[in-house]
Amino acid sequence: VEAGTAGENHNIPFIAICANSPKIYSRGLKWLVGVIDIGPRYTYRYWEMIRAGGKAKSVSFVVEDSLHPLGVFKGSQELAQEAGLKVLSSDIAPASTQDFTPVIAKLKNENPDIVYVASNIPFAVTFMKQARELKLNPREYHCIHHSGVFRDALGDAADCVVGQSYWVGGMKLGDTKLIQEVLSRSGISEPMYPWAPAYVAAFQVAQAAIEKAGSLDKKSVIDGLKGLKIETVLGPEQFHETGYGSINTYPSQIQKGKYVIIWPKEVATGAHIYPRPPWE
Amino acid sequence: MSADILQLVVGGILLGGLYGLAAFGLSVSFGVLNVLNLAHGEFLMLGALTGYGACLLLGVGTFTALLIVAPLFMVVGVVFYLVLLKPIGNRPPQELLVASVLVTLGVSLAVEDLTSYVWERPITGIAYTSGSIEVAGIIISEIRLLILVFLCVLAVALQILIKRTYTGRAIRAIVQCREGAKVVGIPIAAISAVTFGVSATLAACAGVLYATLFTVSPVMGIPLTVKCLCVVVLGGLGSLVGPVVGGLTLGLAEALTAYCLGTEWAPCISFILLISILVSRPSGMFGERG
Repeated sequence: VEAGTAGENHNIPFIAICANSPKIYSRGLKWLVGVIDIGPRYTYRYWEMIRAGGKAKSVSFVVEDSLHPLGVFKGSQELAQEAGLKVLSSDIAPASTQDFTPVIAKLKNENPDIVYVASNIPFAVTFMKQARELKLNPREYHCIHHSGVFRDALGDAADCVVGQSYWVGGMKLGDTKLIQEVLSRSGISEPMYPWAPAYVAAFQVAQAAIEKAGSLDKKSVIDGLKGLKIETVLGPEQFHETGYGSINTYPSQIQKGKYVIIWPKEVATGAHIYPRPPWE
Repeated sequence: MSADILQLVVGGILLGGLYGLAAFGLSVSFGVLNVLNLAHGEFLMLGALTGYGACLLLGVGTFTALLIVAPLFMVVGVVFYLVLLKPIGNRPPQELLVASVLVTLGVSLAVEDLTSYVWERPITGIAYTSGSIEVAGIIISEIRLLILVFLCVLAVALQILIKRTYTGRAIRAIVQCREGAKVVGIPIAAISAVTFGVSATLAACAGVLYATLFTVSPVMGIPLTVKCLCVVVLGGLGSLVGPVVGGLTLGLAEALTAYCLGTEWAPCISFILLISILVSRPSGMFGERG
């Protein structure tokens, strides 16, 4: 939110790649665009999948009290209700929370089908460690960020956790060759840096905007950006009038250490495991 | 409901044990050295990161990591005292207190910035997989139980150190009357250095255990120092029993508050307890009345 004014103060086009909090785009910033879709829609494909599956009936939210997780949670709460789920509880905890015993005790009483953790990785790792210790066994865990750091910290406790990915190997989406080449040449492993494919898309956006402007004139570039409609490595991209983009994530599940895209069927790389096997 | 409360009590006792262990060193260093060490949380943070690093790079378990971290931080603590605190040690008590706050706060900020700069990897805590034991509907994780046993063993060892050894008797003597201890020939500087080393070691050990249960980050030191201060003031500044009781009280209070009022209220309870104890008994639960 604070950084967003930098472009405004100096009249420089600002591409905020993964910044998706609605607060950023409600300030009337004219020199800023975001590559990805707005936070409240961050997991809309997941809720589409849940509605289509029709098996889950209830959800409880555990939310980290910080900008991005709160934005995702607010949208997800509405999307869950639209998908026909009953929201049993929403526990918003400080980002520094370390002991989740009280939250888990309440969740055990509620017995939701889905426990949805809207948080950054450290918060989610601590929660999941303790959920396993205390044998909290919902039919599904959804942690919005479940990158390789999350998986490595949890070991087999991360198995079957669903989260969001921009792209995983084997996915039939956009120019997969280009992503693979860029990741391979830069020595980046996608699960450890799951936002890297979005950065590739951001460079495509910048390139297209400069080409459209025909020069590096700042005003022409930002005008070019705002009116842009292109096909990126992550699918079509265009910008809302307030500045946020249209690229969004796909639900993916950790299955024996691998990330599997589970929805929609056109791009899925494997089947959704639901319910997850309970911890004994 | 009663099973929930028992579960919370078990969780609260473990959390309180960790708080007590972390705060014990702070209380001892204040009692012996008259130094308020605001870098105490940084020792905990560095202990946690060293333990995390040892587990990650050497592939060792938590308790082996403790064997690496403990002697290392004993040395770090002694060197810290000799280089930064001994030179200000001969000042009058009030001046020493203020000087120690400034020195240790400066070190704390510098350590935090340097660690944040150096440690680029996202921090999550020591990876582990452990089973759980279920007793009458109460689930206790094996790793937490092991940590609780370790804390009890450490408490007994500390008790033996304090009660049975010359160093322990000297520490108690300095806590009771610094001038008197000097008169009977206790080497104040050497005992102070050892005490500070023990204080840093305890904080670092608490850090390793902390990294096993929770996530760690380079910026967690100052908030933990504040929490330790709450525990120490609650128990009684300079008291040896106070931090343990203060830690347990705080751990239980946080767990029950989060359950009954919501997680967002848990951090407030330490300050509510702090204000309550300062109003009703300013010297803390086990502190000597002025």
